[in-house]
Amino acid sequence: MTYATESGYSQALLARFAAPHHAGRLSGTGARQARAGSRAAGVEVEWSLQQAEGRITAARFLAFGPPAVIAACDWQAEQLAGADVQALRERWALAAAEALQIPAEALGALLVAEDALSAVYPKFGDESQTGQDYEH
Amino acid sequence: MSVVPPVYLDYAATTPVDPAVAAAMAECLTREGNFANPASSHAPGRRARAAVEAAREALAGLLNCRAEELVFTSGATEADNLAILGAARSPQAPGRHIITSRTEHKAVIDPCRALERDGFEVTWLVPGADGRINPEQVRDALRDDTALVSLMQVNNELGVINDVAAIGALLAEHPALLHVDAAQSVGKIPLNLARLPADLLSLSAHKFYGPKGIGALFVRNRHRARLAPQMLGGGHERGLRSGTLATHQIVGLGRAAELANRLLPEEGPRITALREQLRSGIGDLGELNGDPEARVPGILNLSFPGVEGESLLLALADLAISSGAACTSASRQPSYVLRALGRDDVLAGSSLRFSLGRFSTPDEVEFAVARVRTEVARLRALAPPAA
Repeated sequence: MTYATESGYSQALLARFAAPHHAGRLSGTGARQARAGSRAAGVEVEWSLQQAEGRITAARFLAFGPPAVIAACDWQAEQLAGADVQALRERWALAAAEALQIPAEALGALLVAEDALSAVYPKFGDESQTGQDYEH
Repeated sequence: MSVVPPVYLDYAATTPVDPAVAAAMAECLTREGNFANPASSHAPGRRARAAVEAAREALAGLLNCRAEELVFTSGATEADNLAILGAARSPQAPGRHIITSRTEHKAVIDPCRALERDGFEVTWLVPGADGRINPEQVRDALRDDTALVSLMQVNNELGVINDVAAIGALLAEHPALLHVDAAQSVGKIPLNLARLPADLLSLSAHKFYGPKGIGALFVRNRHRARLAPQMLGGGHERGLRSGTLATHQIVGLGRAAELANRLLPEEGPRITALREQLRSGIGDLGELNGDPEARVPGILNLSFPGVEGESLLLALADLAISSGAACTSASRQPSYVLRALGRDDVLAGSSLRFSLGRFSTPDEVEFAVARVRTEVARLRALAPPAA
């Protein structure tokens, strides 16, 4: 993909864009999904996750959007492996941008991915057994 | 398969200089070559002048017009500006109304906008869903004070052909001049100015395997006095375009015109076949933009629903193609041509223009088909299904 590097994107971003290992949708009784954005707006992201005893056991995403969104979601899915469910409420776009050297003009689209992920959290309800109240 | 990425499929943007053209140009550069100023009266200057006039004759042969009706410019953009501003600002203009379309090249739109700011009235025609301007639209917009009608013969994004002959026929009894931007038609489809009723016609060499930086404006003899020159300083080109003539570039344009004239009968059908190979390979994945039949051989513009445009373009980085969006420093602007056809911003952004040319091969088209099918399927599978 040497020609793709002339796009200005980092190798790390290009690699995740070309082959996102965490793309997909989880199914089964424990899976929870949420999405944000719209195709009309140019970015739409869906997350599906599973948890056990308050820890994320699997995270997958589907994304319609620019390369930075696809790559950032793949990166974040990796960070979520084994993380506390509370992590779903945290902002992570800037960390992804730093890790993948995402240009500033692409950050706005990542907010949609953040919103979609945080929208999964309330769907776990009391399952997370963290004793914490959750926000809708 | 002898394909080396990136595969060039952007001939509508520019073409590589034909080796025969490059060789002819190289003979006009160094001390041993034909480097003199064509305006000089000494022997080297006259030799350069002869080369310039031979090139003018060659271009006239391609267009079937008189050589004296051709004014060399730096390209189609300058030719468009000379035609539009020159005709509008001429003391002989019959009025201050101009007719053009929303899907013209910026080299036509921007001068027309400048005239609007100067108090001219401009009627901006909107093409039909097929991307073409209907001659009846021009007839309905004509007024007594219309000074100029400026329309492209071939749309650069869609490849569709406007019926400029019919439009010209409408103007037969009207004093308005007809300017045709032929940047995408010269050398691609037969053009006969002995029959086509255009008063002014713009072209650019780099669209038909000539060098960048040189073009021409055809000015029908009887209307020459109705054009106010825009470049002053020496009176070159019989007063219409001052500036030292670039012998090497003009010679290149002339050689490219000769080649186009000779190769067009064979090249047109061959490139059409390549385009159809591409269309049959990927047409089911997207929506064709523009009339399927009234189009030049080499251009195919498709919108791919369900695929985000920037991702599609990056995924196809091993193809040199144009997208339905222009990138600025901070955002992508959807194509105004596709927006004029009714495509929304997302679909316009998910559009790709493929343009084939003289050096395109079936293997390259096969490679492009495989890549497009793979990446469109991958990106569609990556997207959330409809809610």
